[in-house]
Amino acid sequence: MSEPLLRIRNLRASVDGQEVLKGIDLAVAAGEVAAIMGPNGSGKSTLSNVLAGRDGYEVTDGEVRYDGRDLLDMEPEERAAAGVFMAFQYPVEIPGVVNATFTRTALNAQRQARGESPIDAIDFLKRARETLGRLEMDEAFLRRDVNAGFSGGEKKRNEIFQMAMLEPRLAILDETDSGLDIDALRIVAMGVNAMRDGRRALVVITHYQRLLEYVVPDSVHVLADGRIARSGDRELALELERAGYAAFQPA
Amino acid sequence: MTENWLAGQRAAFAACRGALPGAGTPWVDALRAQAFRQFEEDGPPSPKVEEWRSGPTAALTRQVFAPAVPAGPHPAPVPAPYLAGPRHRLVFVDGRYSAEHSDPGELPAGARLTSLGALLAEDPSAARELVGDPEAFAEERLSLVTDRRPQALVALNTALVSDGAVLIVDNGVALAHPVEVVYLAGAATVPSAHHLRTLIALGAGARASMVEVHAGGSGSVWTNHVTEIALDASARLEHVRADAGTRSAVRVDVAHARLQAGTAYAGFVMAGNTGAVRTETRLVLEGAGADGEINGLCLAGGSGHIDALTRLDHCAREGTSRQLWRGVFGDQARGAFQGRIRVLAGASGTNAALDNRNLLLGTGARAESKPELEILTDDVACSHASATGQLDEDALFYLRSRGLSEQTARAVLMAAFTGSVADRIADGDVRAFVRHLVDDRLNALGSAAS
Ligand SMILES: Nc1ncnc2c1ncn2[C@@H]1O[C@H](COP(=O)(O)OP(=O)(O)OP(=O)(O)O)[C@@H](O)[C@H]1O
Ligand SMILES: [Mg+2]
Repeated sequence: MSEPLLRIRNLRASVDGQEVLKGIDLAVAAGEVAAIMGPNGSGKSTLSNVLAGRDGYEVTDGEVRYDGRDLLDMEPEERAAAGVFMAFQYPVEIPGVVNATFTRTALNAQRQARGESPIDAIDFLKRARETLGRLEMDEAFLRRDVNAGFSGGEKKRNEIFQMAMLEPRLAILDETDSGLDIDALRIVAMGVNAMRDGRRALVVITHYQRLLEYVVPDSVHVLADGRIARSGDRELALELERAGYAAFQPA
Repeated sequence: MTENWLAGQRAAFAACRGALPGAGTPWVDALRAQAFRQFEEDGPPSPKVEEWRSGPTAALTRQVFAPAVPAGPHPAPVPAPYLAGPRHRLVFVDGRYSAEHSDPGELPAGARLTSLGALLAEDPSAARELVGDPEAFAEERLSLVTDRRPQALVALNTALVSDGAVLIVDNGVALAHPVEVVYLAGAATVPSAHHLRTLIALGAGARASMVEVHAGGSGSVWTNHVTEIALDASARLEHVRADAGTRSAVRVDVAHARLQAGTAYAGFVMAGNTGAVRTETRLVLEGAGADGEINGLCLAGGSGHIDALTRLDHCAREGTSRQLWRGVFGDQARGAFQGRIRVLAGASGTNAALDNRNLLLGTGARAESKPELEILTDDVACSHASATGQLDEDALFYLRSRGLSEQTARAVLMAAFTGSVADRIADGDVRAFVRHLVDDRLNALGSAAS
């Protein structure tokens, strides 16, 4: 079997001197959708942040290989250019920065880093409009400041919009379904499914089975107390929905 | 030290008073003599004077700056016009009008654009009406103490002023194009002072837009610039004062505006000198329903120092005022903002807002913010906000996680932090020019900080 797109081995990480990730092992192959579920505070967002390269997390052991490279050795923007995307659990509001300008700057920064030519404003706008249309988002979102004053659901949709525009190879969605109404959930799920082309990998962090009805995962992993406590197929998600995490809570 | 400095000013005044514009005209000579006496009594500003507590007083007195007479021997190349579209342009080199580099263009009937030197030579009585008595600039405090010392440099300016732009617009006349005034200082190698005075008088219902740009200079230059503005009923003025890559050791910039009923003054300050800047704006809303706006950007790096002071006196009812100030300080730079809103008895229905935020890049920079409200009447709405902080780490990471380099992400956030201020400039060409200046300045600060 060929090397998975993402391989995490014995990853340990601390925040403020406290160990949060206590030896994570996880492999996600190109084309795979891996769901991560787990109780609040178990380390799911910490794992996403470490993968995206956020400051403030001290990796004390283990390694993460992405597409044959040492992911932990790369700057956040290098990871982005290499195709890693994280949809934030809490997208940041950036007043004063226009969504369209930002998304185009990001896209062109990535293209430049990959040695590709920049996309011009007209082509960008065309693609952005199509993408917004698919996500049933109003074009006004392009002109508004990044996430500023967006409702919770709008922020999540904006993350999916950016993902669709940036076309990452590995997308980590941190509770993108939380706070979405039923229609929005369906639309977001459709946006996610549109990424499934057999080459990209998706890590979907969620608390709810509902998203996984739309985005059917290839594997489901339970993250509890900083470790992958159990892995299985989609049946595991259904089981968790019934039984909760009691079996995984530290005594 | 101060004695030495005062002696230097005394010697300079004695040496050049006979050659200054208007010399020989009795009221001019008398005014200069009175102003100089007043300055001698008050002395150069010191941190003991409340309004100068955080001012660049040390940089000011470290060198004995004497007026550059005649023009200095280190001419700087004259910059191309700053405003892209049609404009009326006056250029002053080393404190003196340069006909060669100016291009006043065609002005509408009833509008007069000239230099102070020319006005004093050709029409001294017109000048007499516009130049304020230095005594009148005295600071009146809440404690009812009247203190002349905060305005000592205005007095010195009155004594030594060498030239400046003059714009007089008659009732009802509107200028279609902005006026661009360039004050260019040469790269002097001996301590040199430029005392400049801009006079703007708009008649009832008149409209104009003026941009004053400071450029050039060196670590041996002190620019002492005073702008006096009188707006008659319902006149509207947009007024920008900006540093365009200025390298003066010290730049002191004071604007005094008097607003009659129904007038609108929209002021903007872009302070980005590499040395020290003291920028002061005093708006006196004398007539009912006047609207005063003064916004500013203070952008300093290196060992730069920007000290901004505003004072808005609401003297009549139904006045409105807004102040939006943003500071970005990198390296070891220092910033201070003092904003005072004063609502006098009788100024009911006043609505005044002040908002100052500072961004520190790195740990060496410092900024302080001191809003002050003095409200002596009921029925007013005054608000003030101030905050000083670093770039938002969460926002930086968000941008980087989408592929922006750290430097670009910082630049984007700095531009967002400052953008709303320049956006308020109404004239499109003026706004574009200011944005360009701000971008340049932020780029310099951003690349030094990362
Ligand atoms: N920056 C931080 N400072 C202090 N503690 C932190 C920080 N980030 C994470 N933690 C702690 O690490 C633990 C794991 O947090 P994390 O956000 O990864 O949980 P999660 O699994 O994403 O939870 P949820 O389901 O609620 O989103 C928590 O106990 C949390 O308080
Ligand atoms: Mg989380």
